[in-house]
Amino acid sequence: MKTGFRFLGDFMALSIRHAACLIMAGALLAGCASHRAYTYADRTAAGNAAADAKYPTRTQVHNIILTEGDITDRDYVVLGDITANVAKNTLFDPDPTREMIDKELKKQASAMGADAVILVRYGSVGVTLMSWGELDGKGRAVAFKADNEG
Amino acid sequence: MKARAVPFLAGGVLLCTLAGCVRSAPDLPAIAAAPVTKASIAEKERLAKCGALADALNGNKAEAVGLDSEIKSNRGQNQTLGYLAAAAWPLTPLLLATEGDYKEKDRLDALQAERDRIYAEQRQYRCPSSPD
Repeated sequence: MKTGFRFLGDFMALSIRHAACLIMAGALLAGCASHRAYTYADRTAAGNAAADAKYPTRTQVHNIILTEGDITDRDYVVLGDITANVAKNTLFDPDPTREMIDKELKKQASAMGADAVILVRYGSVGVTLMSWGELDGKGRAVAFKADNEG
Repeated sequence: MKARAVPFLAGGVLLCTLAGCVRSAPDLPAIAAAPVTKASIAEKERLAKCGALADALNGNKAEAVGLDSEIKSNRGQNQTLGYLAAAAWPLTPLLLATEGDYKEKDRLDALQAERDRIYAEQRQYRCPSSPD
């Protein structure tokens, strides 16, 4: 019986060692990516309709206009407000940049069928509970109205 | 207090202190139901107003760029001190030497609010879109 307990103890110790190795391997592999990004969209009714219609032609990411200002010479419909966060994984990775935020906002706007992201604004890179360096940005995804639309 | 608890406590204090370092992007302005355009305004007056708004915007952006680089310049020091404090808990008081740049960050938020007001007015007056 005693041998049985010892075997069980050895087995558990081995399992814990394996688990620790797996966690370390995971942590090391995670370190291969220097940044992680997450996004969020708060769609308007027009945005929901656009999502329901599943825009037959999703706007190409590189065609999306991104501006810190407003677009005053074209009428548009607001699809929703979008948020992007980029965080670095380790202290030694470079700080996230506004270009990274722009890329994430464009990707999200593209998925919504937007033509542009307006009123883009950024936070300031800083330490959070989850990262040594995190930056966030917000923008409003809009789709241009066709000339014959009211 | 058990000696083992001290590093955890120091870690907690460290994280809570440093968590304040990040500044979130300011909220977007409310979505206007329909843009109100000042169609009846004389062209000359419209151009003058658009010029004044563009000048105000340029001044605002220039100030924001200055504040941004000031915050950025403290980032290296903050990270180094934060790392040292995290690596060895007796060095936690080093965190007192970090620059929070709270005044600058508040000013950046105020400048963004001002820019949102200018953009709304530019839309009202149908001013040309401002390049970034």
